Amino acid sequence: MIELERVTVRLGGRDVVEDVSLRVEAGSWLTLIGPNGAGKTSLLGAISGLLHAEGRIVVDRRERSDMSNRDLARLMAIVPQDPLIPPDMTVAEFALLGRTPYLGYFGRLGSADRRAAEQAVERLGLADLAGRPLGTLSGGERQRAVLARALAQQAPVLLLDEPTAALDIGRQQEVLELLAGLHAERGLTVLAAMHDLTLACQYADRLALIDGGRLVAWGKPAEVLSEAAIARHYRATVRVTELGDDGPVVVPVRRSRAVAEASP
Amino acid sequence: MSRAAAGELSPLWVGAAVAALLISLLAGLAIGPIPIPFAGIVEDGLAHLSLAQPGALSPLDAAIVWELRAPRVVLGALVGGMLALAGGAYQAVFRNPLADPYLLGAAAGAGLGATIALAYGAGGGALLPLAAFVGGAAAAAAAYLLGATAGAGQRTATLLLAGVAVASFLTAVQTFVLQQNSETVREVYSWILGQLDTADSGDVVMVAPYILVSAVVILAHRRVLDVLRVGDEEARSLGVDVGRVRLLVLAAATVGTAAAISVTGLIGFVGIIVPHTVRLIAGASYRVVLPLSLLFGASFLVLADVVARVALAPAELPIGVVTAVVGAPFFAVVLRTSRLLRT
Repeated sequence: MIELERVTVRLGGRDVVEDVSLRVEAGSWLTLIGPNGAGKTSLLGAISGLLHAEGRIVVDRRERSDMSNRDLARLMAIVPQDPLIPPDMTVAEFALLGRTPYLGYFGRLGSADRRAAEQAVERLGLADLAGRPLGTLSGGERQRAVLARALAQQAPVLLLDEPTAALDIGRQQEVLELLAGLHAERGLTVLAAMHDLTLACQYADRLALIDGGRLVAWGKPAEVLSEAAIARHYRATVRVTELGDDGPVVVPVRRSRAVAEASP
Repeated sequence: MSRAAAGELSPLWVGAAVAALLISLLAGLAIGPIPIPFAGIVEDGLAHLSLAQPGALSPLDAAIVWELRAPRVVLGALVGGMLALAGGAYQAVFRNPLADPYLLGAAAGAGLGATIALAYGAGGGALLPLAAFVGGAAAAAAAYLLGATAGAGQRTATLLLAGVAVASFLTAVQTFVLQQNSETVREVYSWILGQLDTADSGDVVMVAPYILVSAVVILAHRRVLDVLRVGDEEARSLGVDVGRVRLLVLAAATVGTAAAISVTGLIGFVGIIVPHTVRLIAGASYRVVLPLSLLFGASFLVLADVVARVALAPAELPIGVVTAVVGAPFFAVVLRTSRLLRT
């Protein structure tokens, strides 16, 4: 569904993404992980067309550079890390914005658009809040509203930058479960950037570890997440263990203790 | 989901706004130093359309209503509607509740044009409307070009700063011209305060086409302007060509504004008061704000003109003073509520 070939992004004279090649299969879920400033957001920006990139980006077998904003918006819904939330816009209005790529320049919203937005709002459990201004919502509700807009866009690809940042653990799980449900029931292709490594493992088919703008590891979660890799790229001291069927669990440990255990 | 929740304009509001406009127009025709009964005006108006018997008004009253007051009332409605609509459009494009149609320097440019016409023009300022129109439109165009070519990224912020730079430059030139031609100060000052009392049907015919085209272009963009509320980047990711929308809407709003103020002078605050009142009472979607601003803006200026006519009768207050006396306190309220909304 998405193919990157030797993609490089230059910002302020520095290569923030360097020579990254990557494939996201249709219907799969790939999560980008990596330390702060590794280039995850820049890579997503290159795919969404926000940042100029060298190299080839292909979405649904079409060259990204040949596509208009509108063509891409019909293929790919984007959930930014820090979406701009107009406080006086209602949840319903916000979800309806997802229909923009299907309307002509002066086009008006039709009943099909209203239905699509309404279904998206219901699917994310916001039906009772449809008339509420976004400024009055909690963080979790707001993130669900952003997902409702993305869902109303009816694009086969979902691009998410830190979809659970600034949410408590319950809201994180709620949002990711909703995403996993949509991924499964609609065959959506998901490309996400995430910080929480355990959650990244639990919900993705594949992980791609990025550090210093380069792709340093790629594969199934258990293959990518080793204590050594996390120590090297995140400079973190962790234990990686298995917990039932959930795959690897990454637990940080106090550095002083880890050192004490290591030295006999 | 309900229509109101979806940000749609309810027919009830349109009905209320149209009714308010009709009542304001009637009040504008009836109220003045010589009061003329509403019923007579309605009947005489219907007689003009061959729907009633003529003779409801004396020939003198009919002349006052149709030849003196009607052009003034219609011009007030056109200009008020235009300034309010342009204010709403500027607020949408700049995503700034305090934006008004003069933000890119249209007022300063029109002011300089008017000053030059009065100071150097032959025929006692016959060229004033043209000079004001050209000055206003050229100033905004210069600010746009300056903003669009300088600085990348923060496009709206750069445009705003360019507007400030152009406006201060033109105001400085205007001050210099005035200082060199101090005998025109009074005339320029009265133009700056705005007036409708000199309106004739020629003015209406001259500005109506610009205002009509400008209003159609802005209203056609009302849904796209709602998409801009989530910011340039997200609007782009929803498939909107942000640069084109911004250019078209600003061009339409500026041409309409320049045409309006070229005949009436600088009438302030309408572009802020009206869209914000609409936003507070009827909803924040531009599909609601823009059409209602056009209608309520027209009513507002017609009524403000009635106040200007009767407050110190038989003398007339400049209409810009009336709109500002209402506008300044309202501005403070807007500042407060927009701060509360952000926190």
